[in-house]
Amino acid sequence: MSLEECVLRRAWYSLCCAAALFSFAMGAHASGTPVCTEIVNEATATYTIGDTEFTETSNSSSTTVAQLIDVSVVWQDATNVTVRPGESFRVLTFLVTNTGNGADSFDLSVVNTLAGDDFDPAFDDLYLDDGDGNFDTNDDVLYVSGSGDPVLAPDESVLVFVRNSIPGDAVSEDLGDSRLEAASNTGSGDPGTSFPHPECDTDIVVGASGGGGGDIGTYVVSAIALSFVKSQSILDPFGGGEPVPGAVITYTLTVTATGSGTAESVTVTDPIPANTTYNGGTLTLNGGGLSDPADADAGDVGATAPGAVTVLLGDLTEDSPSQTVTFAVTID
Amino acid sequence: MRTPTFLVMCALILTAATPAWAGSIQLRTVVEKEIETVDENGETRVHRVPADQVIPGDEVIYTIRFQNIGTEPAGDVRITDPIPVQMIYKIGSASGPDADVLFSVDGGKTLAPADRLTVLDDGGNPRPPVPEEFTHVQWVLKTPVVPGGSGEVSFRAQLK
Repeated sequence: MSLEECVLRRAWYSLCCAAALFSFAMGAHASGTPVCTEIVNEATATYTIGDTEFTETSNSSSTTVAQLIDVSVVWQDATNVTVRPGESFRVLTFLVTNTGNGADSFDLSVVNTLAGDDFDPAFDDLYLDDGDGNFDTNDDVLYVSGSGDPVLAPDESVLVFVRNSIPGDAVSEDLGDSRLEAASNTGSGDPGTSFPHPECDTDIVVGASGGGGGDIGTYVVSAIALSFVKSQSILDPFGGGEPVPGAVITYTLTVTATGSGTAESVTVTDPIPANTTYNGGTLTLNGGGLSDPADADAGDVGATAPGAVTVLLGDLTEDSPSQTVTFAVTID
Repeated sequence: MRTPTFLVMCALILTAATPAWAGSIQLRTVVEKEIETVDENGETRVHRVPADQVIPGDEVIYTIRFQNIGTEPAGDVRITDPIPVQMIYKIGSASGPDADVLFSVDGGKTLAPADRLTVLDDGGNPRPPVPEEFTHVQWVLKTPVVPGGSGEVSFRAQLK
């Protein structure tokens, strides 16, 4: 924050602070000096009278660091989270940070009845990350208000996963907002409000966040549909098309996306039929060969899914060209 | 029985602190901050109040008042104040009447005007210091302090 902004903000809040002993700098310094730190200062003077040198020390001035309560909540998903009508347990990720200078715990809540969106998600549950940054119901902790409130040291953060259900009547491109709120259990109120600190001779002061903060995450409904079409051609050892032992079957899978939105990370998995053997080196995607082992290219045979070919098509939209996968087997 | 002992100790301390030949400069330091209030006419006023407590980001003013309580002029007066480690010196804020202001970035070992201070970067090359690296302020008074004379010097700093 620039000095000018600081002065302006101070002026803005000066009405409510007229009687308070505190000025405050709106939490501009996240890594603050810890609460209850006593800062002592002593000056020294040297001088001469005649030829004699003297040294004199001042009294000690002292100031004690009060506790600033502040919290920030920031939605972490890079873009709107794509969902389908009627889905449950769809995750939005938020980062809650203690931007004050004392340890604090925070009550978490989710508000879904927000204006300005197309539908209200239905709250399912909240999880606190175990530290690995990934949502996992086995490792992460289901949040329980009160006993499960996250305790954060100054500057410490926790990832919070909010899960909501999407109404079945939502239609493509509808947006639904969900707001995670964190409220300090130490105190809240108008910025500048203060009350005594229990552990040292100083105060606890409510910072710019008012002791609570929140941020909105957004879902977008995608009604995109994928069609899979599979066809086969047979070439028998005699140049005909009979499915006899030794005949080669070439399968062609065509995947097409229709509708609005994006189908993310589309993967095609197709089992190699019983009583056939995959013909090595025949896997292709859109006419280009894919090697059989799991490697940098988009496909493999038997590695990702045993006994099957797997091809990663990636994100598909209606504008994407149809994706064509082919492979060949020999009848045993 | 505590009171007599206490009085004796005080007497000893006073005797030690002000022997007959002692110097004559008395120093007093205060730490303050500014607050704004709005008076009944809606005017914003800035007041200095004792900074008994501060929060991160607060700016404080350290003021050192000096007075010559002796009978002889005091010459070559240098007043040195360490910048608390939790505080960041506000560049340009050190002031004082008729004084040269020097700074240290090495814990008070060497002192120089602000524009001649250097610290070594990671490659061992000198660079100008950043405000967080200032460790001491020193005021070198240009004229002696006459008996009864007084003044004050100050600087501003921000709590990390």
